Amino acid sequence: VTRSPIKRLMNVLLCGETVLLRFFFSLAGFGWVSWVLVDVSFAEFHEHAMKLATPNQFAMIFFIHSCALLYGVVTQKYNRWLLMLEGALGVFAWSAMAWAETMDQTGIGPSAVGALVAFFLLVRYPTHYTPKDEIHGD
Amino acid sequence: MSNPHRRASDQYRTELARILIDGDLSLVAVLLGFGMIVWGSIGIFLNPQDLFVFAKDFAFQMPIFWGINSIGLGFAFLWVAVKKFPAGPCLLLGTYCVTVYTWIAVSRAVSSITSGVTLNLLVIVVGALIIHRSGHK
Repeated sequence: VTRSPIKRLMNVLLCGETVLLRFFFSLAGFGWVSWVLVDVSFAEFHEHAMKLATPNQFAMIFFIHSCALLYGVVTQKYNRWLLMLEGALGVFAWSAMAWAETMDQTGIGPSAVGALVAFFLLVRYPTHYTPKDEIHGD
Repeated sequence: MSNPHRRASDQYRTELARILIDGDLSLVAVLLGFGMIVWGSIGIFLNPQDLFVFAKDFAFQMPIFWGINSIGLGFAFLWVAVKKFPAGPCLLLGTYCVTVYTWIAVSRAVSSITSGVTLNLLVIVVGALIIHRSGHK
């Protein structure tokens, strides 16, 4: 059966396996942590971000989110605590960073895309695994 | 008798390796594609000064090129995901991503624009995986 590209795209978005995406998103989060900690001019150029949290607090939030993603990927655990950490915390952290970056006029780039991916993962969380896998959850 | 902690960590390492080698790359390619289209479009139409800041640190100072490059790559990612990673186009796309984004990441790191380097590295890794998957699935 040949399907239109739009239908194939929707099929990938709604039914595609999220494991590799979450793995890469956790790597991006760890990269973001290292950037926030290593870049000494972060506080200087991100005035709005500093109104929300200090660089160390941002780094801690992204670190917890990335660890939760990696933990969920390797253990295939599926529960409401991980839903809060993988999904809700990710949306909160990446959206806050995207808003702050946009307000600081340093560009709408990477963190806005990160917020988009985090929101997608939150929406797709109930379908991360097949029903067979759900029996491994807590 | 083997240590249960070591057994568990071995199991997790095996699982990670399996995910990297066999995991479904379609969703990664689709979301990366959408992300690049959004970034490129916003850069060209809404926030061109950001592209100017970005481009002036590179060898050719053509902001519009980076916007078009991003949108084009975004559509290419969507296309290879929909077509299930055909060999030839994947090889081209992956090689382009790895070479161009390695150059961008190095240039950014040298110019101390560290913010995007982590995501540039991600594009490089995904490009390498697309080369690896070309023609497989």
